[in-house]
Amino acid sequence: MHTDLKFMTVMQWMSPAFPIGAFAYSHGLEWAIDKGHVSNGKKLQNWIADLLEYGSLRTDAIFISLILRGHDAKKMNELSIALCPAGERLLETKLQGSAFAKVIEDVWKQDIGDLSLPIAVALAAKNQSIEQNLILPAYLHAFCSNLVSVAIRLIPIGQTKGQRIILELSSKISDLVQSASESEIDDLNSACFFSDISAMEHEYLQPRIFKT
Amino acid sequence: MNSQKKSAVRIGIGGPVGAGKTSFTAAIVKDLKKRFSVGVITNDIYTKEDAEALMRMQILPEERLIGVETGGCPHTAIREDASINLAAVEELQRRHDDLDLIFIESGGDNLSATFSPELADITVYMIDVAMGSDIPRKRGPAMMKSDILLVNKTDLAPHVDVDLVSMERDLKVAREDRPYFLIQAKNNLNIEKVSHEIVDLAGL
Repeated sequence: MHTDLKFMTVMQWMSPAFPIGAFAYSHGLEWAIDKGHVSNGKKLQNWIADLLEYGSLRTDAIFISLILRGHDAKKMNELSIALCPAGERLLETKLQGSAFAKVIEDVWKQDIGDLSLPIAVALAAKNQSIEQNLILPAYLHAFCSNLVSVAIRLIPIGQTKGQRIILELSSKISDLVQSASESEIDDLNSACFFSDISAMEHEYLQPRIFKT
Repeated sequence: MNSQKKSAVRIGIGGPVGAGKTSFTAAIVKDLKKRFSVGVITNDIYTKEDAEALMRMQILPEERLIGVETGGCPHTAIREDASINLAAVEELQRRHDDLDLIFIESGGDNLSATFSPELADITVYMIDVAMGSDIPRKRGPAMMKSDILLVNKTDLAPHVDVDLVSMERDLKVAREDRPYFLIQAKNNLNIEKVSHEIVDLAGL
């Protein structure tokens, strides 16, 4: 496939219009905002930057890279499910992964099976010969944009500030793309405890507007 | 979805916040559950309050209800990206393989909201008289195109200066040949007529 066609495929998959219900998941951020831990743009930016450097987004990036370098999708899926630190993290990755796989099956006529979100995305990309340097930054950028959108709705912060934060995060995303492509299974680890605890606490948050 | 499995008819209930969607869902399900196997999905910004309301009213047991949070995007969740609701439909059908009808109550919409045809087979849109007699004249896709239009709380008309006769005249114009009903969900008024229409449209 030509690079421009691959680029458009990635744009389509990672667009907020791609129907996987991403808008309903806050990744625990709703609890952190509700309790005042994330109360402005600066704190939000730090929160997401930590996910990229130490947390779930770093893990996701390594998984995607491992699949594209030929690791077994079934085994990597089991590991990615096992590494979910909270019930709602499991819920969001499984439900979004299933929804992603369903559209891939219905539209691209490829059965990738029921997988966690990063594994589903990576496997679909692999089947289309889409390289890491296309899918990885797009996946991470879409995830970060979705979290910024959560904060735009909840803190709230303005749309322009939201765009500035996404721009500021770009270099972190770029660094992660580089490091993930050099990482191995033994590099999979996570140290973003407060974000993980937020995901656990969210399960009991009342009232709430996000699924996770 | 397993093709061997029976597929329930899905009815979307939309309408502005406070129109009485939950009261209507309670009333219609109470009537239909006597003859059919029924499940309900509620979309609400506040936890599982609507689902719990239906449980408290003893309309349906917990396992026939699912509450879905929509991240502050109730329209998106029934229209552009219904995947969180489709997952709830699948979960209800997994729990009960005999379901005839699934009601999907939206989290509160404006007049331009519509259900994705991939989510709802039949759409019901609901307004109430206290919103003002001009609502039918504003039209909007929900008002014009829904399979059934309901005007709730008709008992309030004299208290909010709404002339039901002229409101119904505007409704007839907006709806052309499509059905509409004037109801009082809380008092069970005309609910049976609506259930007959739904059963008819569902081909049950």
